[in-house]
Amino acid sequence: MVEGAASGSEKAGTPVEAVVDSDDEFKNDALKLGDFLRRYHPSVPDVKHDVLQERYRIDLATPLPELDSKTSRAYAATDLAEPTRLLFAQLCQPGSVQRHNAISILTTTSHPYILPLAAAGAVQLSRPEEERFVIFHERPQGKKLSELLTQDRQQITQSFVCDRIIAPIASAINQFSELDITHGTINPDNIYFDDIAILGPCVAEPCGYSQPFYYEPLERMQALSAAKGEGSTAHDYYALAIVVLYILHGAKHFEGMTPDSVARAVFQEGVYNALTRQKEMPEMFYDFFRGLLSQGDKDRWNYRFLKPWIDGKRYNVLSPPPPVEAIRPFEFNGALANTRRELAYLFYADWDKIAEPVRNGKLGQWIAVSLRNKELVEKVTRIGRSILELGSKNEMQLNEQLMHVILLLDPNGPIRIKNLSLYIDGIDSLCAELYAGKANQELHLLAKFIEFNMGNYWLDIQRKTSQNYAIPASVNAILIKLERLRSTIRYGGLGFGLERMLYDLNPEMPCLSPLLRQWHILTLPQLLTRLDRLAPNLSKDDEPLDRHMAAFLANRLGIQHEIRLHDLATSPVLATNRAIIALHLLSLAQQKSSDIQLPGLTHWLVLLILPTLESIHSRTLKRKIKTTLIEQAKAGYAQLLADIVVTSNYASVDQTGYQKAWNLYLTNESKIAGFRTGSRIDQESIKFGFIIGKAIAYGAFLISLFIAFRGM
Amino acid sequence: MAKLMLPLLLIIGIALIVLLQFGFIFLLLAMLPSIVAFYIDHQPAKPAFKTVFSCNLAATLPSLVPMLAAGIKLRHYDTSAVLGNPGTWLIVYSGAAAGWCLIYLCRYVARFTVMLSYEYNIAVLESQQKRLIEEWGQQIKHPPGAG
Repeated sequence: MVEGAASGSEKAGTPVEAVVDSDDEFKNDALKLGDFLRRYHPSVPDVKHDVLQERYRIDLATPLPELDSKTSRAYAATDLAEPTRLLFAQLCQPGSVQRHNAISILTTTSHPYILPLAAAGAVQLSRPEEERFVIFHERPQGKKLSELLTQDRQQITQSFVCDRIIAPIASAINQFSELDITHGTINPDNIYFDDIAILGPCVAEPCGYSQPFYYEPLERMQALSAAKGEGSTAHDYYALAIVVLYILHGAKHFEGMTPDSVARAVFQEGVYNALTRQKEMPEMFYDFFRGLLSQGDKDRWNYRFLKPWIDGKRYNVLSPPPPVEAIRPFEFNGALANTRRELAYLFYADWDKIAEPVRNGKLGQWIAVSLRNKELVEKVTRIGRSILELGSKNEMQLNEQLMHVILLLDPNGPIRIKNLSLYIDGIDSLCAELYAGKANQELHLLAKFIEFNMGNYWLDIQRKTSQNYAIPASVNAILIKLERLRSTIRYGGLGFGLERMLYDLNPEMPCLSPLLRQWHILTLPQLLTRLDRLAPNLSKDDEPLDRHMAAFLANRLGIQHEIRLHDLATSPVLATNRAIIALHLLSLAQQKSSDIQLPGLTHWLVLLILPTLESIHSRTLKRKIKTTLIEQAKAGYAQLLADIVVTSNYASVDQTGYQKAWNLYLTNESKIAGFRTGSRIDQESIKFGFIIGKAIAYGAFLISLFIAFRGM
Repeated sequence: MAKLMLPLLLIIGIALIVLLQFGFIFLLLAMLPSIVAFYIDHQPAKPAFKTVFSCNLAATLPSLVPMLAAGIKLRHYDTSAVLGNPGTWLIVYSGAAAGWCLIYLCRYVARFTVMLSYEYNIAVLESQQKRLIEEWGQQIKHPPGAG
């Protein structure tokens, strides 16, 4: 190809067989490709609608709104292998996050007090005609606990609560603990009761996503709902205690509570006092609540303490005193804080005002005098100095310093930065949530958080504050992802940017391209075959690669550096062309996928690339490339097209040829002008005239000489 | 070369004086138009002089050669008959005049030939320019990178 191209350009100056208008050529080529696409009908495998694994069928005519969640709709379902087994299906919204690790564990787990998870996967729905991720659970028997409590309060006795509710739920939480996962959504609306309580589903959304705030311990309550992370079963035991409070005192107990009122009460009175509100309760529950409503996770009862209590053992646990850490409170923004945690809470509530007390040393002074923590004073003073040096120059660096202050004050709390409050292992679901909500400002903040490696500071703090800190698996996994993301997040071209952050953080996220939103596309072959099928309809108006698809492909292909087409460097128009970059990415994807032919996609790509080739100067080269592309598109391998358009050196051949041709044109122009100059003609005529005259004169002289001497 | 010309002319002059004797005077008078042409031709190669000289000499030779032959054979030759013959002078000076005519006539012939050659070259170059435009497009008229 390249040899042909070279000869084409070197041919400059030789006759071209036929001169066809460029527009007509393009129209003819486009017509050929369009004609192929019109006649192209790829074979579509016979997909059964509304059925997963040819076994679980969704009945879309029977919605079950009582089983809906924030990010999924519930419908009745049946197990075709066991028609008597009633199921329900959770149809997850596109772009929502599911707990895939928990799904894979729970599908193979059976526990009498955990609602069985039958299967999960992408299902082609009949109405609407789209593919969705669906989770099949056994349909819970009986009522929701919240309904039971509003209807039959008479039957709720102490032994009933202990044996039929606490015991099964504690056993289920213990099972979760053994599986190293957290339920995260234990509340009366997600506990079902027939003759004994069983735990409802928890995998269709991020852990604790729809959990009401008062079921969460204070530190989780402060995080954004999508950014709570995986947490631990200590949080589930806490939620169990709140469920029992709900059973004992009813829904009215929680009326009027706001996240702020609960937080302030917990800071001032401690968790136990703040949530029990010191109401009368059966004596047997004193230990239960004091054990479970502890101030920190480490002191909280687990199954080792709870099981004996359920079996009748009593501990006589003491009520924890209200938490007071400082000798004198710190006044901030009209409120008083007695503990570092409380101050961190107050600071986050008014971000713009944190810098002042840190900068002017008021915070350092309070820590020195009231907390007597020299190490902390040094750190805070250092941050104060940095803030002073920064001034108002760099907002992001200022935010980073303020985040450090809050982390130093409350190392166990969420990472708080401006309007984001997250746990490090919740960063993936938070990113997805912000993306779905089109919260661009927050997404950029999150990107900066990753780029500035702020997660590492959090890890350092955790290591320093708790001895023998073992990084949880979920945290470790996310830290690895963040480390990899740091190198790519600063690039903004195709395949990178916020979309890339979304796919890198959420590898189970399907491609969210507007062209593919109807399908749950997770792999490269799925994406390629879908684009191939879409080619006949979309080739008229759309490009086969948008930012989402590019980021998805770059993620699946593990591309870590910005895409630069070095072979086309001599022609910036071609090197930066979206259609050519699309071809490059799609060819890599096809190479990585198994042997699949994609004639629809290749014709679509050629159709898009043709106008770009107009930037090639040489008509012969252009014609040759176009003809070869159209010919090769029939094979259905994008790699063949990429070999011609991306990796061959036609661009430099064209450029060099053009340079030579331009020089030749210029020389010819000056020659023509020279031939047309009158004075030159006169000079040449005189010169030539003398030559002729001399020649004739010399001839005459020779003849005369010959004649004269002949007569001698 | 110019330095050699004068001694050479001197030697040739002396040789001719010896050979022609009075005939040398005839030669000088006959070559007067060439001498004039030498002085009025300011071009470095003196093409006008060369043309006039060749024609002038060609016309002088028929009268000069018998004198030269007599000189070589050491015989007396009566130059007064030649000098007194107006026909001789008419031929000699007509030769020089023919030289000047050649100069002016050939200029027009040369102009015609040069014009013909230039037109041909222009046609060839224009055809090459056309092919360049066909191959590389109208943008070839502008420097690379200028749109």
